[in-house]
Amino acid sequence: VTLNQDQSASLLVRVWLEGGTDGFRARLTSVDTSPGNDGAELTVGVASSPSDVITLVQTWLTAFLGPGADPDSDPS
Amino acid sequence: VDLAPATRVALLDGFALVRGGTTAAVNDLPRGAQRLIAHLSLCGRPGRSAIAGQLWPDVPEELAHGSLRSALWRVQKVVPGLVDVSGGALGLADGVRVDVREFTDWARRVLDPHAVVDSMLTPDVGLHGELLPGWYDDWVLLARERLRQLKVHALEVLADKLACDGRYGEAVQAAYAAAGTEPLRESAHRAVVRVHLAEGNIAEAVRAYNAFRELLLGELGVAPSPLMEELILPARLGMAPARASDAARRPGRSRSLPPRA
Repeated sequence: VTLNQDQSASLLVRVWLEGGTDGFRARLTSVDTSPGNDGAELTVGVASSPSDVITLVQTWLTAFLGPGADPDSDPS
Repeated sequence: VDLAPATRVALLDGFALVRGGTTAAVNDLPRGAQRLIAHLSLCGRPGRSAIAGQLWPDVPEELAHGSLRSALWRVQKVVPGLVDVSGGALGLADGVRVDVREFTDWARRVLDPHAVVDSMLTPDVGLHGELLPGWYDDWVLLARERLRQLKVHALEVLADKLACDGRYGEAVQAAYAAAGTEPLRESAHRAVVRVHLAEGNIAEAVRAYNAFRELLLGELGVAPSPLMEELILPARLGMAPARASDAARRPGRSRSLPPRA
């Protein structure tokens, strides 16, 4: 069952190490899985530290929820 | 009905079904049937409950099983003999070829340290095609990522094996294909540099290094790893033009300069 008003997305976090543990790398890619979208991958951002990854995830969630939404709030 | 030997399922670059050398009418297969075939192509021989749960995760179990029965009936009608039903499990019939499985077999041969490079003809579709573009089910996204990782690792190893065999043209193509899969992946760029160095193209190696270094700096604000620096250092030293000021400070290296008039 797919509802037309469904809005969903996937965020893929690829992480890897280059030349030891100091070489942390990440690429965050999103896929808009809402009905009517082609499911194309878009790079959300790249990062060289875990904290940068968390910032990117937070920013992406805020954008997904829309203007005025607080990603820290509990929707229930 | 045994149609399996002449049947091939293609999932890379989009869903297609080829029977006897001609593309079957995929349009006759509703999306649910296509998803069933694709899932069996990727997952082997899962049980009915597992399939129903993966393909229809948002509906009650009973409804999911009903959708599975409907999709299976449609597949059996349009492509008889494609799916083998035994007990509580479903799978593609013996002899059905799947491009993803062929690509995976190829990649595993490449990654086998004992495999010789002669038998490694590159499957174009596997290198350039994406798994089921436009499909965004969770099981597809995960399989797509798994294939992507397999591809990039295989390409890096292939580049080195081809270079060792003196096939530098193919080697550099493989290395650049790996780098193109993830432009920030340093091990892929190291493969590019290694191939250039192996061929004796010092300037190309340094150019590739510089391009990667600038990319890394621009995107992440970081420098290449010590592994990359160690790899390129001899080439960079060999290419550095001698300067009069350096020679004055280090007279022992002044032999590379032309004699003063």
